[in-house]
This record gives sequence, C-alpha cells and structure tokens, in this order.
Amino acid sequence: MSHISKIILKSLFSKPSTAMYPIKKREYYPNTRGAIENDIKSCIFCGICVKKCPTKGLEVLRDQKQWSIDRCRCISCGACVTACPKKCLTMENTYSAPSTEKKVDRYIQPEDKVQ
Amino acid sequence: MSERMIIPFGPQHPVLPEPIHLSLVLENEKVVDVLPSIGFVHRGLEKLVEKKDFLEYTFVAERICGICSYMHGMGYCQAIENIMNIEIPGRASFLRVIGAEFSRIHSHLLWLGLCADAFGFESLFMHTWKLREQILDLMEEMTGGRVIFSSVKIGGVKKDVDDSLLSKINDVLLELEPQVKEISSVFLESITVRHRLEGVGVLTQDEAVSLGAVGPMLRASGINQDMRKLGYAAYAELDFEPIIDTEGDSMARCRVRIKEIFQSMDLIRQAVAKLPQGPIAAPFKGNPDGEYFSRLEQPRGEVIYYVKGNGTKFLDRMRVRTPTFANLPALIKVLKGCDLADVPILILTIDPCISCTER
Amino acid sequence: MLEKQITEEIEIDKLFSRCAELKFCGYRLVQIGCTRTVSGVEINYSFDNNFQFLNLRISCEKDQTVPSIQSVYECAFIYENEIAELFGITITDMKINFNGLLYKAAVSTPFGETAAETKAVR
Repeated sequence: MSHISKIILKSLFSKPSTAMYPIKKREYYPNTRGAIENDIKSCIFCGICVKKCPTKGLEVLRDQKQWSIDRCRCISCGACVTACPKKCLTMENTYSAPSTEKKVDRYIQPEDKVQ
Repeated sequence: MSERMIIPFGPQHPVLPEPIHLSLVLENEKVVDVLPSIGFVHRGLEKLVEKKDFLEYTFVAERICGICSYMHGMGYCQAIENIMNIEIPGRASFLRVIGAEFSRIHSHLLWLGLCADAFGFESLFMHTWKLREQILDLMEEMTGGRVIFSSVKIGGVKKDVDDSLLSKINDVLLELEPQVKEISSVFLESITVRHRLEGVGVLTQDEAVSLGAVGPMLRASGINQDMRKLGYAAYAELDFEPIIDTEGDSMARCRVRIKEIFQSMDLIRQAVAKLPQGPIAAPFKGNPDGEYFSRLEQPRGEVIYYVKGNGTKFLDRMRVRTPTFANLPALIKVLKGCDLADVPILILTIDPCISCTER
Repeated sequence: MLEKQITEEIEIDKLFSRCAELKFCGYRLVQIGCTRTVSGVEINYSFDNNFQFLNLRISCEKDQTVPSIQSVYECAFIYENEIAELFGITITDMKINFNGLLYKAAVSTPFGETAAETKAVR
C-alpha cells in the first residue's frame, strides 16, 4: 500500500489535474480539427466538396447560391477542405456549439458579390 | 458430484466497457466451461466497403476502434499502398511510427487503468488515466484529434510535425517517464495488486501457440513474436527487441505491457532523432486492383487487413481479423478452471476490444 | 512490396492434408477469412512461419461442404464457427461447434447470399 500512498500524497499537495471548466476554458491546439467554415464570398458552388464528403453532410444549391452543412453529420475529417479549389473552406480549431436539435447551417452568398 | 449451473456474464457488466456475453458453466465457484457470444455492436463496416469508395473508406477504417484508430487507418492504407505499389516517403513512415507508438502508450495506460479498476483499486485507476491525458494532448497537437486521429492517408500522412513539436514530444516523454515508472512500481510491487494477478489465468507456452494467441498475451507466455519485426513503416530502421515474459499468468501480461510502454517511449525518441526531411505524402492515381494481407502489431496484438480490389473505386472485400478475435480461444482456455471472482480480471487481461472484433 | 505473400489455390479435398503438412513445417494459423464470389465463396487460410506468409485458398460453391481443420489447428474453431454462422457454409466434423450461438444476429447467415444474388436484388 505504501507505493500508492506516496503518489496520493503527492497529488494531494499539488494542483488539481482537472480544469475548472466553465471558469477556465480549454485551449485548443492550432491543429485541432473542429468545425468547418465557409468564406461564402469566394465560394463558386462547384460542388466538389459535396462529392468528397464521406458522410454526405454537405449540400450545394447553385441556383440559390447556397452552401449548407449538416453539423451533426460532419466528422471533421477535412476532406472538403483539401478538395476545395478556391480554398474558401477552412477548418476552425474550435468545435461547433452544442445544440438540442439537429442543426443545418446555411450560408447564402449576398447579391453584391465582391469579386 | 456438485451441482452445475450457468451464470450469464455480460453483455452489461461493470468491468466491460463494451458488450460481450459469456455463459459461464459453474461447478460451485469454479468455472468449468465457457460459451462466448458476440454480435451486440456489429456495425457492418466490412460490408460498407461496397458502398464507399476506397479513399473514403480510410475514415471508416479508423472508426473500427476508438483506441487503436491510428493503427486501423494505417493497416488499411498499408494494404492499399501495397496493392497500388505506392512507395511512401521516409518522413511519412517515421511519422507513422511516432503516431503508432503514441497509440500504444495510450492504449497500454488505458489498459493498466481498467485493470486496476477491475480489481477495485480506484485511486490507481485515476492516477494511471491522469498520465494518459498527457499523451492524448500530445496526439491532439500532432494530429488534430484525441480519439479519431484521422492522420494517416493513402500515400503518407496528412499533417507534418514541426521542430518545436518534436522537441516538445521529447520534453513530455522525459517528464512522463518517471511518472509512469512510479505508477508501474505500484502494479509490480504492491501486494494488493500481486495478490490479484499472480498465478491467475496461466497460459503455458504450448497452449498459447496452439490456441493462436497474439500480442502481449502470447509474449507473456514466452513466445518471441512481434509483427513490428516485419519492418513495416520505419520499424526496420529502429532498434528494438520484442518484450517477452515466461510466467504466462496475468501478472506477466501486466509486466509485458508496462515494459512495452517504456519500449514505445524509446522507439518514439529514436524515430524523432532519425526523422528525415522531405515530403509527407506520395501522389498516386488509379484504383486498386489486386489483393493483399497487411499485417501490423497493434497494442493488443497482430491485426490482419485483407483488401481485395477489382480495378474500380469500390473494393470487393475488406476483412479485418482483429487481435481480440484471435485471443478469444485463449480467453476461453484461461477461464476454464478459474474462480468466478477472477473472471472479470481474466477477461481484462486479454485487453478486449469488442468493437474491433465485430467490426 | 513489403513482404512476399504466396497464395496457393487448392482443391477442397486437399485442404486437410495440406494444413497437416504446414503444421508439421511449423506454420501457425493466422486467420481464416471468407470472401463472397459470384456463385459461392472463397476461403483464405493464412499461415505464418517466422514472417513467411502463406495463403491457401479454396473456392467453394454454395452447396459444398468444407472439412474442419480443428484437429490440426485447435484455434481454427473460432474462425470456422464464424464462417458457418455468417456465411452459411457447412463445415463438417467440427470439434467445437457453437451451433449458431457465437453470433447474436437477428437473421441467420447475414452474409449468406452470393455476389450474383445481391446484384439481382439491386
């Protein structure tokens, strides 16, 4: 028993190894795979990301200039980000916010598109 | 003549993180026969290969198991690379070794914690998992994920590691090693632990061979067999010897896994020191046509990936033979003749991963 | 290529004697795997001896039976029961036979239909 008591005593007099969550938020690393965002102004609605998505979570409506992502289907694999020809898709290092219902985020390109 | 009775064990049991059902035939307190049944978490991942193209399937392969997800992706990619004759760059193969060895450390630490939990040593369980957290953080910094690393792709790896992270890996390992030593001394010397593990579930050398055990289960019985010696990825250029033990009991399996943690740390240091410069992925085109059995050493033992392509982007067949499945005969053997109270700890010593087993 | 892998295609009736030969040469059984073909299945018996990989392959029509190799390789029982339960192949003289109790499945032989039958349904 003496072996573990040493470790337990050491932990007793050191900082807790858990973080006080709501007060102290966890810092994510630059590499962390989080939510996918679209810079909709430069999107050309080519649909390559839709074809590459392994979970069929993306949808592009070219005539309405709309790009949408089903947050609950996305597995943050990054296949769409690598495939995007205009590099308008990016992967954030924070996760999308939790929600009580299945959420589809729609991005609609404004009419006065900046070229 | 004592009375026989059947005790159902699982699929829901405090010691099992995943569902497996065992019908234990008891004679008083002794187990005389075992009938396993699986199929509670079957997800049809092998069948899915007919609907997902072979590039997308990499993401599915990684989701076969949450613990050795790095190596599942690696095994699948290795099979495809061999069929398509893709030579992966040196840097990528070393990065794969680093990722795989990190998974091994985290898997073994997880097992040590679960093992402590199985014989009711809660504080040891918490302390072991505290150490594992540092490895997970490092993995997240390296690959972007904590459970599903999604780092291996066909032809190489997705993310490069820069020099500052390499030195951080060395620092963390340097800091972690004495802490793991401290924890492992509890496992190896504490009388409480030894009382529960020593002499329990002995698997002799002959039995281990004839029952086809793999991984630490086999090496604890004195057989020198480690698939890393095949020299896949960059293992051919690294210096290591498989860790074996001769006792064959639960304590020996525990010792083998503890020693493998330190061996993995050593392998990571070697790989970091030898990491060559260059690209991290090789380009390729076309579809796989042919078949290959890819073999790797996972934390739990040897895994087989059988991939059969037909020249289209959909594969004909992908089969995984996971280490837990191969260890089931050995588990049945060690359970026969043991006490009912030892059943949970014996199930844990094979390091069961039921999701792997059922795909 | 990482390692040389030899595949031997053999007849079903030669399977048992070939396995006995391999056992005598010191090979261990790595896995038995089943793949659907157009009119039945092919079964791969993989062996390894000191990192030498050898694969025996038998093709089996749906109504054919396969001899059990459990008397040569004890650990084959888990694979043979899996094949019998999932693919519906009849394996004769099994020493340890779970009789369909290994897999808890809602349908019996879930992978039983051949590739041709699946195509017909599609």
